[in-house]
Amino acid sequence: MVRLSSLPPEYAESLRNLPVPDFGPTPWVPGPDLSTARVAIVSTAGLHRSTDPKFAGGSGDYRLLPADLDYSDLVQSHVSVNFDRTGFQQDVGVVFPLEHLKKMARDGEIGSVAQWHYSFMGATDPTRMVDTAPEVARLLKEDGVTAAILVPV
Amino acid sequence: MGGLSHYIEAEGIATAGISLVREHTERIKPPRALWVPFELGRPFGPPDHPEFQKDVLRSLLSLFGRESGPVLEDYQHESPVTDEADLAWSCVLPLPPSDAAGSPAEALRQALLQEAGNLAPWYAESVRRRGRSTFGLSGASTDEMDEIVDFLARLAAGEDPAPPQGLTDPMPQALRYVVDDVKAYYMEAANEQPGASTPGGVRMWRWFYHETRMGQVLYDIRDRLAAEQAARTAANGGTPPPGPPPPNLISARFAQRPESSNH
Repeated sequence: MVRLSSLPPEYAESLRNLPVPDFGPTPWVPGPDLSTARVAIVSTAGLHRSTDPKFAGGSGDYRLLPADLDYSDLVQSHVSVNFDRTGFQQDVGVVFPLEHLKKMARDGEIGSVAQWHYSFMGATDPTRMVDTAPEVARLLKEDGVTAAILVPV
Repeated sequence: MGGLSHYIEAEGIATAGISLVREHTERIKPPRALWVPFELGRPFGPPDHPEFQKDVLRSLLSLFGRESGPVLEDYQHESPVTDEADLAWSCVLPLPPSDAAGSPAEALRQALLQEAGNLAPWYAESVRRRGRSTFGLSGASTDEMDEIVDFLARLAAGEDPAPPQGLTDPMPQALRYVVDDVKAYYMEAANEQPGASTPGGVRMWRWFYHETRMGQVLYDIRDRLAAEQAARTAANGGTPPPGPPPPNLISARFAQRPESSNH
């Protein structure tokens, strides 16, 4: 459980005291009707294809993950020792629900699934993404995405 | 994650994010967030529970229907992998007993090779059944497991062995990646054992760190690297020497060795 009370005291304390930047007022874009929404995943699990460069710790860059991703080619270079890896080892859907989204699109629950999805490194100061995140947003727009789900690990 | 929501939403794309640490999300105030009560590493819940995962996903997507924000909601269901299921799990694969405290380095190396060898058919079955493996980050292949095991055993014993051939990164980063691959090898094999339910990550960590010889070897390597770093720091007048610190190989939750292997 990610309740701080369930973690080892020192680790919980380090999480509790982690500096959090002030991002100012919360931006707001009206959400789309799900039946017509085009949905993309933006992950911070350090996922990428095996041929991509590994993520460096704390880096703010990103990798592309196509909708026809070959899961046997998917690796995770976010190698923190403090989160469970066994879930992802057994089932990609634990951290990257692309197949669930495709099924929901086939069933009409959502409009469609984006052609491209994006992955950042986890445990990174988000201010390092101040330039790359807007770049990803522009790519999402080009793909017709109207709803992005953001998934940490 | 909440910061990324701010940046993307500000560019005109509606976002909804999973929150793992609620206290952080409360402070960052992203537009839409769903806090989930699962262990770190499992944002959509346990593996091989697709309907449960889809329910989490639907709850997340439902936040796009809100008229104003910021929204921070709690997912209402606990993981179906309970603490009780975790306690009931044990590894039934035949491994040499992990009682090598104080044993000669060569005996430990041989036992470690036997341990990894005993897991090999179960790892292979996991790859066959799932069609994938998370082993490979280091650049090595599982064909090189004996070389990797030999390398780690010698490192733990205080030797300075040459790294295995296949590693693509310089030390010490290569050590972190190869240890990650070894963990994947062990845990993917253990999860393939017959007749077992899937445990949570913490139970699997306990097995790996406290019940295998490889876990013992990683504690030995960690302690060796920490001692060497401390000596270099002392020689440098109390300032850590230039370069990266030793890689962290052990989860904070299992920083303490099991009592039986203190040596």
